[in-house]
Amino acid sequence: MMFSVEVDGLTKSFGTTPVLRGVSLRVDPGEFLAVVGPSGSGKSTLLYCMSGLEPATSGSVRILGRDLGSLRRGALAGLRRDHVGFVFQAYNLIPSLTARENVALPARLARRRIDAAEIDRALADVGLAGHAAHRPAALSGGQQQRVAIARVLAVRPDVVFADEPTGALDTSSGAQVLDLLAKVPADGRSVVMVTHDLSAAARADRVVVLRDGLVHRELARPSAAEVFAALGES
Amino acid sequence: MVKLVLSDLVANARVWLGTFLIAAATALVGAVVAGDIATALAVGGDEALALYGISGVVAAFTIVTALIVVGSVAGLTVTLQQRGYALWQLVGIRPALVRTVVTSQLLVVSLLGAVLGCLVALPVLGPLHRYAFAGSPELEPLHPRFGLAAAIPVVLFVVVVLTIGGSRSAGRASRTPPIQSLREIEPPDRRMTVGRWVGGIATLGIVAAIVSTLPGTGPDTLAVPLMLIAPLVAGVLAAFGPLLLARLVRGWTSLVPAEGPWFLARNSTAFNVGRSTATISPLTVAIALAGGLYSANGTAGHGGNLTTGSVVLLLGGPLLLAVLGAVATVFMSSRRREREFALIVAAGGTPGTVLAAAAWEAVIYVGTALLLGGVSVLATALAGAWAAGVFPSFGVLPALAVAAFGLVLVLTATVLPTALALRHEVPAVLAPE
Repeated sequence: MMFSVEVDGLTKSFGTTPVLRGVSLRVDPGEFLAVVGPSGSGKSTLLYCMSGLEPATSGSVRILGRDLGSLRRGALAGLRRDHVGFVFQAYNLIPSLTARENVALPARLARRRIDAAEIDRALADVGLAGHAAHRPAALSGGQQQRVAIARVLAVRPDVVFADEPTGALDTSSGAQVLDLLAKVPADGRSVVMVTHDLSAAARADRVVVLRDGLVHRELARPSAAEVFAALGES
Repeated sequence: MVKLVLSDLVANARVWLGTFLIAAATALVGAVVAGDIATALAVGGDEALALYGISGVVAAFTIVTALIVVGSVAGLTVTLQQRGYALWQLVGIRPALVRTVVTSQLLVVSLLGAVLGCLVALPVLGPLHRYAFAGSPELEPLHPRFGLAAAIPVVLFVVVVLTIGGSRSAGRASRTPPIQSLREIEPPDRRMTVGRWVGGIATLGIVAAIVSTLPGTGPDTLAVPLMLIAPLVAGVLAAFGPLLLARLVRGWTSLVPAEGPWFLARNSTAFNVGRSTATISPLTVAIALAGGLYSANGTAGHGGNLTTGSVVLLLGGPLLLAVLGAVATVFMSSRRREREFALIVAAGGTPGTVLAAAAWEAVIYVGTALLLGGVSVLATALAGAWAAGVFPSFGVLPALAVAAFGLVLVLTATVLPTALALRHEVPAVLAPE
């Protein structure tokens, strides 16, 4: 069986400071995986290494069976363009482009035909059909996150990486964003989400608790209380 | 407050370095004009009259260029730091104090730059004078003077233009609600201010007055007023930039198929009007100066009289200042582009896509400046032809040569920082501040 993402013995150091100390994990197709951990545990670094945005110091990362360490920059960009989507905590959108143009950007970069109906449908799916012509500065933080998710929905990538996607949002906007992310795995795509929000993590199929750059616990469909308990274990 | 001024200067070193270099370059060019006038005052006689005439034209070119370039740089200096000023206000610094701090910074940087420019001028003036006047046996042997009395007006001019130009922008920045500044990476629209309307209309009036005096002017004296028209029209276009620039960019760039990098470049250029105006206006002046000079001479019937020395004398300084201004503005704002580059890479763009978008941005700057500069040169040629009743000369080659030179420099200024920015990891660039 081919995993969406496969991580083996991953280490990452910044200078002489080790952040990841040998992480191994797998993400199945159609799985929603959450990564939690205290500040400085290395969860965001893990996400960026898994997505190929940050090179690993040692170990390997495979997306759909392709070893990221063996890819040149252009091939890595192509892999990201064709198979990976990102939702960051903030600043997801290019300020000079409208919401519609931001959603269509990956297709444009890939020189694929831009299906206007598909773009409109992606925006409608996140409840922003009426905001297609708005630029990011005219949208709230929650609306900007939903446009970022619409971009992911329009591209239909195999893996979506989300770094604290609700971190800058109020409770209601955060819940909307999580609802949208939770729908992504329904058709075989995977979501890897880093979060410090335990109730957000509890929406995932599996939760990986990271501590000091190592996988401390893995929990299948836990409650927020179970995640909290796992985080509190010494 | 001193600590705030200094720490902010260090934190935004790239922006302030650009401002400092433009202050120095303006002072250096100003020193050449002031040196000519000081020399004329010292030597007297026919040589003085000749020097007054030449320095008057150079001074006119320099002042128009300096007002546009320095004004653009000063405005951009503030625009690029608007987010920081918003954060200052959020921690309790009053808007009036924000303005005071920014004005103090501009004062310090422009003063240091102007003094440096004057110091650099000291060893340069002699060789430059001998080169420029090599064809004139009366003027070539003169020893150029440039003492404290000549330097002080130059320093004052640079400091006043930069400080007032930036202070107005700082005033606007301090009045902008902090939350709006924080939400918008760059204020998307540079509006027409009262100053722009007054400056633009006044300059248009000067152009009209010059043109009205042209009929009946003899061929010997027609070239001088005629060659002032192009830079002045460029000044009018720069003043009305916020009204027409975004439309012009969107208009002509839509003629090219919207491939990925071109699409990104044209949207970025049209959207970030403040940033674009700051680069396009100096380039427009450079093209207008070169094309206008040759057009004026050609139309007035003096096409063969322009030696390299006289072109360097008349245009060297202002051209240098204009092109440096364009390059400096690109350099100053290059950090702003890094976040967009990171987003493009995260969305699946290759490093090649990002580099191509940066290169196309340079092409759009120069292309737009060529259109605006072309209008300025066209105005010169048509006014001269109308006044003298001759066929116009358009100065096409000099205008294109300056545009090509500007393109090489602006390409370097956009592509090189972009290549360096691509070395940074995307997560670090996109991390919330």
